[in-house]
Amino acid sequence: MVIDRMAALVEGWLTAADAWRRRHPWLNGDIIASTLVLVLSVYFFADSVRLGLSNGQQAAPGTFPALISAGIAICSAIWLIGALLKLRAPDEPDAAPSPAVAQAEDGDNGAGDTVLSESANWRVVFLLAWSALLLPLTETIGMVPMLFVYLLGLFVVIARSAIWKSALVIGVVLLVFAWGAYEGRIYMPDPFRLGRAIHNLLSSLTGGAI
Amino acid sequence: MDILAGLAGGFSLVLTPEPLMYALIGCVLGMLTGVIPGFGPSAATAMLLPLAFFLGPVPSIIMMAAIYYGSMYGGTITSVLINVPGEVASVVTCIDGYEMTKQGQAGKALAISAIGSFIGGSVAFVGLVFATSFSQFAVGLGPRELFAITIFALALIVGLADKSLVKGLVGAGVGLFIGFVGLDPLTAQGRFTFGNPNLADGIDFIVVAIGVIGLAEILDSLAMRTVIDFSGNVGKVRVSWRDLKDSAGAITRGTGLGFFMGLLPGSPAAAATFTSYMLEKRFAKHPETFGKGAIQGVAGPETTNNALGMSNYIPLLALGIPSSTTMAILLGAFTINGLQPGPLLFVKSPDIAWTIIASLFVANVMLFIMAMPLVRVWTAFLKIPTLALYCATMGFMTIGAFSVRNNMIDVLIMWIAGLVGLAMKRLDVPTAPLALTLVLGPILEQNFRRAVAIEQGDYFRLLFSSTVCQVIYGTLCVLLLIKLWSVFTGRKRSSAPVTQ
Repeated sequence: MVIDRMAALVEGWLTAADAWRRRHPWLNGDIIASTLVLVLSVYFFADSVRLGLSNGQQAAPGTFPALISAGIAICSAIWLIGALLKLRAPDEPDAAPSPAVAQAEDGDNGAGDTVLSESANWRVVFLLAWSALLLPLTETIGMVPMLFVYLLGLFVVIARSAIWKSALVIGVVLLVFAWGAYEGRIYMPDPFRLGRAIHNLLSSLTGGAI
Repeated sequence: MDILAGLAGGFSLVLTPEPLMYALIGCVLGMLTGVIPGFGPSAATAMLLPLAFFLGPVPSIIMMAAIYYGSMYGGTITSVLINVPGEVASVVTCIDGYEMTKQGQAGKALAISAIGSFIGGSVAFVGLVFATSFSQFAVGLGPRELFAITIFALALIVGLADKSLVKGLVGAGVGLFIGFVGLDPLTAQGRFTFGNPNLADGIDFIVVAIGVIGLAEILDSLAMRTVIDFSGNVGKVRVSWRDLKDSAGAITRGTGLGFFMGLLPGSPAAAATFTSYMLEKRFAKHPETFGKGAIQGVAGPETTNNALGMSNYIPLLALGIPSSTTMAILLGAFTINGLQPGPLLFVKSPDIAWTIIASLFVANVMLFIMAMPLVRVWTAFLKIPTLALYCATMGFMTIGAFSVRNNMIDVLIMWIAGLVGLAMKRLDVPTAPLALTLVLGPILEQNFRRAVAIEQGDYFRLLFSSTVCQVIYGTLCVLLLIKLWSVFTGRKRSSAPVTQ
């Protein structure tokens, strides 16, 4: 119940943020992405120039990156201008949905139907925000627990159903992976030594056969 | 005779227990991943690419080829049974395939697509074998020409495959830039590493490919809240003589169309399958049945898709240029095993080259043998909760990315790439140019720098000093003009009042 309420709270915040974004049309994905790419390409162009553009009669380490970053800068500028011009133009009618997307509404599907919800923008925002937790979590609790927390968060907030079943499925699958990685000599960050613990447990259960 | 002798040698190496086992495992893994809703061949091959690390060059290529074919058929299963195409090329299969499922004829649709795929793939294989003689011509090409050919292929992929040229170019540029990160191969000077020693070795292609192509698919499915519930009836998995007779024309036309469209770098599979569908509708005695479960509407596009998949190997093996995202990933599987596809592969390692070619046919046969009897197994797989499939896939990807260098930075890069891939999907930025330039970037820069050195810094001579380069750049200019003309006339047409 508590988890469900928290998920609803997060969804509420993100929906409000999405509504605020919709009230500011200049904050659309095209404008943000093209500006970001433009700024990065200018930065990388400057860095390429620093690396050197000519090395006698040979190309220097910065020659090709400078050419490419200049090209990206031009393309992203065109993209940005196009996005800004679109703001002034009247809205175009929506394209017809693809056969895979044009399906039944939530909860009213027959056999073999696909259910897709509406815009889902807030879920994308949540994905981005939640993913920022990946690195600090991995460094502190290890890869398998991190994946457990991360995936559970995704399923709790996004799937919003069968939370305990989700936790069980995710837990079992990840423990199998932890054991598989240990047996395969892939030594992941594992401060709690889960892989070894599962190995020892299976060994004792099978009398050393595994 | 060299070709036939080489092929015989290749088959003698492939038809042994170990390669056959890898082909079998590849087919099963490919079908398993292809059945995951929304997962196409490119996402499936990207996800399973880390496996190529642990096997030798030949087994890993055999397995990747089998994964490719298996995932294509897995995508067909989801298209037919639950109306979810694995990739854009399979969208057209949904139209009549899903209608057949509604009529209780899913088994027939899956059987005819397996038969069509096998025939298309086998005929295209014969074409592939004889097309390898092109590689002898390509042996004489220098860095200038290889640079020009790569630019040509990239331009076709970016310009012709997608609607937005600008976004395609940005995607290609980003892919190239990722390839620059690390030590400069000639001077060992650090480039764009931000002082991080973990980036000195560069960003691994596999890690980015898993993120941008595989992880982004799952994140997108999660964001779209895709829920699959299949409880339909497959019916009998077989076709009658009458069905075969009805589909013979579609299979023949699909084979020819797929083979020739696959030769063009950047020819999108979706365009080929849609063309096939329209072609069948035009040739059909009863075009009104299309969209209502016409068997030709499944046989034609599926045959085209498989023939195209086989002939896509021709530019890869003869010139070293991948013509699609999946081929770029397969090129990655070659390079991580120290092989460079292209003309020199047939000169330096003819055994490996012919073994790989023979393995493509073996994978095609194996898929045909396994496809029909195991349809019910894959159908049962669809009944596993989507949640568990996504969870297992994400776990596999994370551990796969970590295993590349046993370094957490790769996991981080994979997740960042996944989020970038998701943003690209949302913004309609094509991911195919990014995947291709990721692989081709280092080759392109290497040829560029060699050519500059040969021409002693004269960039004009680099572009126009050889006849091959002049022809390539001339053709590119003509294609660019055609593209601009089509954009211009398309805009005029879209601004005209709609009457239909």
